Amino acid sequence: MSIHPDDDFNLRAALASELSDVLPDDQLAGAIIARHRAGRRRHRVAGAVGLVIVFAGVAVSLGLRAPGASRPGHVPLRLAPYTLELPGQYHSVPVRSASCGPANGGIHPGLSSTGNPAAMTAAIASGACLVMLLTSPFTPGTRGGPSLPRDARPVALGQYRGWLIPRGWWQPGGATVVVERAEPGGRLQDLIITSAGLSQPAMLSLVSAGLS
Amino acid sequence: MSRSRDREIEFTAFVEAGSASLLRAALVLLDTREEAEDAVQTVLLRTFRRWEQAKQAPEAYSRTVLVNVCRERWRYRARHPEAPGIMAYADQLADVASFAEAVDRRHVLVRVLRRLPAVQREVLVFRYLLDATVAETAATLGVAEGTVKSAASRGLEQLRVLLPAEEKKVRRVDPS
Repeated sequence: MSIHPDDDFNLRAALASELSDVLPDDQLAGAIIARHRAGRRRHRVAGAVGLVIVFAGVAVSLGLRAPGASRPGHVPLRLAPYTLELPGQYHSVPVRSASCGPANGGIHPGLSSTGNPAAMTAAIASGACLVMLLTSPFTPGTRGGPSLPRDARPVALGQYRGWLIPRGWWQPGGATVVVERAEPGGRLQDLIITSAGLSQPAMLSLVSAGLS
Repeated sequence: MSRSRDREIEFTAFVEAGSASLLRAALVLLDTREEAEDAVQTVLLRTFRRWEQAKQAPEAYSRTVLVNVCRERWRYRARHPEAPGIMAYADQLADVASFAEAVDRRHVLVRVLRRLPAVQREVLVFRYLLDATVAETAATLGVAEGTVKSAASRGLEQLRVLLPAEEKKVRRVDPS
């Protein structure tokens, strides 16, 4: 077909003629539908992978980890079901050698006699000493259990509840907390964490952040 | 019969009836057959994804998507001048007899249309290739009806100027 400008130019007819051989693939619709399905599958897989990544990120940020494992750079001090993660400058020592332990007069004799001496652990750092021991529950009125000082202050210790014991009651030069442990069968034991060389705010901060 | 299957049957019928005109329009609006086929696949895929909405007027819907896809590609090309389209290549080839045979001489008119400004090209494609009315063209392109009329007029004028030169090139390469 001539497309000379002197001809009676008809663009519509010229385009129809010139492009008459331009035809799509016979299977175009099927190819599009297949591509759509493949895309949806990819989206589903990507969504699932994304969820896994999000959950993993949340788990990491919440500090979920295997039981017994400790954060890098931290020193775990373990006693029965409890783990107290201490900053890296602490290191675990035998209770008898701890300056704040019962053997060195660091703990009130009445208190140390209420717990099993084997159920104690200690750690020290420069200028600080810390002992954990298990005792009978401190619930007021429990027969045979130790009683709390009247001015003990209830405190939240991370996931636990407890009391902050007035300075000088059990530990002459430091701070002491009693930790309640709620158990399905009722509280069997309480945990005492007592320290020397730590202020009460420092002690509360340490226990709240590290006790699990 | 499942809803999904119904959807696929409806879409297949639409593709069989309307994909040829979409491909021809894309061929004029873009630079190469490959690019046009790729664009049409994108257009149809987007149309199928929104089929519940598109099936009310699938032809108009797919034409609007085609305009959007072509404009996206033009914008991409403008941002990436290091990746030239086939037009620059074809212009060079047209003056080189030894390579000129590589140019598809059957599509002289298409090559000339590709040289027009974008608005004129779009308007001529919609008015003369897709047989859209002035109002439909204006609505799809998002311009005023007056713009459609003036762009069509200027585009036709341009064609009357450019076609003889292009035809001479073709005759020079292929005297028969």
